[in-house]
Amino acid sequence: MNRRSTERLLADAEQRLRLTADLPSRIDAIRGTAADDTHAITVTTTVHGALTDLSITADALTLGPDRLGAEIVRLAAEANRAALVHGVDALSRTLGDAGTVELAGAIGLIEPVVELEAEPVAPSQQDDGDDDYAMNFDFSSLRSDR
Amino acid sequence: MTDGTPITGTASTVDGAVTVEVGIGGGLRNVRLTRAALHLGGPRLAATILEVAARATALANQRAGIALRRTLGASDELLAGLGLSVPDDLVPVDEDFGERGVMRR
Repeated sequence: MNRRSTERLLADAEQRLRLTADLPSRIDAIRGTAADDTHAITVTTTVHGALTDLSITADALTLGPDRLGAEIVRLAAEANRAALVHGVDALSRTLGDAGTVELAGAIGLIEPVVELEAEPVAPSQQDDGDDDYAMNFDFSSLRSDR
Repeated sequence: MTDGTPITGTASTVDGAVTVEVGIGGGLRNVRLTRAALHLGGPRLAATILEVAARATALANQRAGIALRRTLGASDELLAGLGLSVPDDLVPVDEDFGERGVMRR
């Protein structure tokens, strides 16, 4: 390994340390929000799913107690998923592209990646996948670590 | 760690109008409301649900912390890093965690 590549490795390591230093506080600050179609109920959660904000209008009360409770739970799950997407985005600078995709699979945002070195997927199979992740995650935010 | 039953936390208002069950970290599992809860009006009901959910979350995190300390020897720092915070003012001091493990209400 020549001197230049060693210096590059050290510079990369220092850059990663800088990026990870404030990671816990950045993750803690991430929120996801979801609302029903009429915006009668709006729910905000952390990446762990904990409620941090909740808005219920008078219109929402007409749902009745059972449906209102169920709708809050449903929207909280949606908000949690949104927060997780933001969290993966925040981690992507530290994890690199491959690590980010692996994490997204591990927490259920996309189909789990079992073998990253597996045979290339045939084009016909690529079109059959679930579009949810692509719909919700901004791949342009990924930065290659190579 | 457990008998396979998920670790949860449940809290209610004194009158039982609002009951919230959460998993570790605070993810909502169930929100049970009575018709009387609706009489609070939207803003007060939302504030009440937030307050009850925070207590349920503290309880679930406390139970998870106890289980992780027993089985993995997890430190306070690790638990905090996992987001399992337990605000002192949200968990009753007389919570009974016996030898058999985590108490469930």
